[in-house]
Amino acid sequence: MSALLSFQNITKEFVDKRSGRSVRALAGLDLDIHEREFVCVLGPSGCGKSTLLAAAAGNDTVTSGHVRFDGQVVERQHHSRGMVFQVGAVFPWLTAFENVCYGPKIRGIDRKVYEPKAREVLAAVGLSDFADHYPRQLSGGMRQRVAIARCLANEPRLLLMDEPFGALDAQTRLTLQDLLLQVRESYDGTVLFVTHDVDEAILLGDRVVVMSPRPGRVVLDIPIELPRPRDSSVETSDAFVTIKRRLRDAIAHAD
Amino acid sequence: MATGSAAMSLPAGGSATRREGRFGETGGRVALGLVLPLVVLTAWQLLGPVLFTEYQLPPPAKVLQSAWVYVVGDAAGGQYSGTFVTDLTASLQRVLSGFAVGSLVGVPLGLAIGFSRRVAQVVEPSISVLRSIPGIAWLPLAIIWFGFGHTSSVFLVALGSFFPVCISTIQGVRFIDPNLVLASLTLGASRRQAVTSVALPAAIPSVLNGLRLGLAYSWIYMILGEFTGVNKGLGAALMHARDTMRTDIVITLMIIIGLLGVITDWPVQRLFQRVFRTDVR
Repeated sequence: MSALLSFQNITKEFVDKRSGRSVRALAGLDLDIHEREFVCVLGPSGCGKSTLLAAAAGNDTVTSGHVRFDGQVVERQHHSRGMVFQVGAVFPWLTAFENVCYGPKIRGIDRKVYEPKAREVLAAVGLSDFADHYPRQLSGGMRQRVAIARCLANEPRLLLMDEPFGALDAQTRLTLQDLLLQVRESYDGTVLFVTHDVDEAILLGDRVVVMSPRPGRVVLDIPIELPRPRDSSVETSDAFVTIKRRLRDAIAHAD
Repeated sequence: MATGSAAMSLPAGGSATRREGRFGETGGRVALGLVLPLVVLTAWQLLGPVLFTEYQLPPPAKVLQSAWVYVVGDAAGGQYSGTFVTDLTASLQRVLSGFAVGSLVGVPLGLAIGFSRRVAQVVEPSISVLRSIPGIAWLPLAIIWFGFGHTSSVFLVALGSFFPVCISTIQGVRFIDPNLVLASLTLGASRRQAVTSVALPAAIPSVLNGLRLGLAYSWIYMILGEFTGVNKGLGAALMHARDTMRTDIVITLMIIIGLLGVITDWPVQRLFQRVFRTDVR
């Protein structure tokens, strides 16, 4: 089975602006993501996991190697690869509903088609009552819901999520994790989810990939065989704890 | 675009759109703002005659009376009787035409500098130097080029409003959250669409702030320009009042100019907030 998204021998170097020195973020990384998989990439800050996402989105280039999506080398952004950022990327001058409509609208899709779809995904993230609110009137968690809905309205084949719940408080994070698990049941696309939260990775992922500190490479890649549909109550199960122990060991011995 | 239909009350986390202090009502705030002027007025009334001659500092009642005559007019029809409206009209015309020129050049140039590294490299150093020349230093050249009067003051207003408008626009473009643009591109926008649908709206609050600042500067430069010698106008009247030893009119005009600055800013600010639904601070 060929991969939907494929990182082939990826190296990324950049010049650190403060020190002026060349920094190697990724060193020959290989990773395949298959259709309909939910893959969580787990790693410490600065291990290059966000660089990986940026390269998959077409937001950043790699120094050497190839990122292939559906067999094609990724060169620039495309709406089939949606991205949810850690903070801030909802358009503050548009309402929640207008934010969600943005993608299909700018691509020239018929309003009669995208408006019902936008209402549907807004309902799926529990924001129907806030459709006419501006981002500044919404909490951080609600803004992330808008960001997720905005991507889903485009029906992307691949959803890239860059620590989307990293800036939220613990309570809101739990709520949104459960929400994402629910959304996952109806969204049949592929998800690449970056986090440094071990529990989050196990809870959400079909597969967890552990990366080493900089320069990042894959040190562990395991399937998560917890039953679906899941919710956060699974976090106290024995199976969960066993996986968690294994991942923690891998992280501890990564360098 | 359906707006304003939903209630504004929201759960925690939503940033407060309006601050409600202990003196939440407008009346309370106005009253607080009047405390200091009243203190100054009292000091002026009591200490003025002790420290100054009446020519240097006429008493408040005299100034108030002159202000009334200047604004409303009186039967005697003296030199400053009821000339406020003609002075205001003349000054306002200079402010608006100069401000229009300053912004019509400032905004597009600011956008060009903000978006294009090449344009920035060519133009920005010169702007930095020109900006460092105080407005008053332009006065002699303005007079040489445009003579005494109207055109000179419009030129100075245009110049004075150009810099804040242009600089704010540049900042507005430079400090656009890059994630907004990336979000737009990943959602399927072309580069051009990302600029028009995201980068421009994202820069608007800063552009508007520049325009507000530019308008405030326009008032300052209008007065300066009218000092070159025009017949009508608030600045002209101000200088003329000094020449005719009318300190009461000088003070009247200074207060009027200050109040007008605040009064013109207020609707502009409200309008911007309404039109662009963005916080203008």
